[in-house]
Amino acid sequence: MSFFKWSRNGERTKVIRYGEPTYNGGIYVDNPVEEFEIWASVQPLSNADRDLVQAELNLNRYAEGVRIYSDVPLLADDDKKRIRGDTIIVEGESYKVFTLASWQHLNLRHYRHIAMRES
Amino acid sequence: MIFKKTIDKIDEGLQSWLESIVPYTVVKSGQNTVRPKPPFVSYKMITGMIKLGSFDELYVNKTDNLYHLKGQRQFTVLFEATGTPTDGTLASIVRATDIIGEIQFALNKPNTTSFFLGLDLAIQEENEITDITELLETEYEPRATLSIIFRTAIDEEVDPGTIETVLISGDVDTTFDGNYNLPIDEFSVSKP
Repeated sequence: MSFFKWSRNGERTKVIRYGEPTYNGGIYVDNPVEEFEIWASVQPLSNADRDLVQAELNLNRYAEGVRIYSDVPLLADDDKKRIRGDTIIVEGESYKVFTLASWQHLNLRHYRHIAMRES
Repeated sequence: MIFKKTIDKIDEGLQSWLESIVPYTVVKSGQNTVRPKPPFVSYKMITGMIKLGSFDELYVNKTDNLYHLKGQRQFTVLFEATGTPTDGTLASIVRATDIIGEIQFALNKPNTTSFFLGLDLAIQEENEITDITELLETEYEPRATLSIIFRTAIDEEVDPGTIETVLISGDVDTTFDGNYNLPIDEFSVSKP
């Protein structure tokens, strides 16, 4: 059973996962293959997260984003591995997962993600 | 929406032309999404349609009001190839500069000229092949670009409308005193 189910701020969060990219006439075709829900703790970005977002994603510090803790790893956007990051739905808005950090050394093993709002 | 129509047609044409030349995936760049597996080729217009000279106005015929507004336009397309680094053998390397070289070579083939003619495209200038190999995370990825300047013509049928009647009322002074005297009380023009 997920710890996040019992945590005070745990909530069900919808996740959309995409398949291998396909192209039709040179145009990318969206290919969602799976939708599921996870228990997660959704929190605001910290200042350190905003530094990361600014440096790595070239976004401004005030771009809307969330930090998500869960015991399920989400797929983070990866150019090299050609992975389109999972989309999570928080309060009706779509956020794309950009980073994944694994916290497996603790008794309470979990994953931390940063997701930024999709346009 | 003459520009959208023209550019969409050019995009479709460039896509099928590139697919006939290189045996790799061809995509339109700048789609803000997952890229294909290398090797692949992408292309994009890096300028807008630059206006050259002034418009020609060519009437369809003398009885019809329609006429064609024609103008020349110039634009630059950037082709970018992404290759794959070696996995230990020379044969496994796909050089990005080789892919771009194929594209540049194909520009001079007769079937390319006739294909572009069908799209109302003329090749104005070819620039140099540039190696822009970059570090992607932990490994260098072979990349190369080539920009080509094209010219085309845009053509839109325009209906300017017609003047059917012109009403002028007033008295014409028929006594000629060296000056024509045409006092006009009312001048009105009606359109269809």
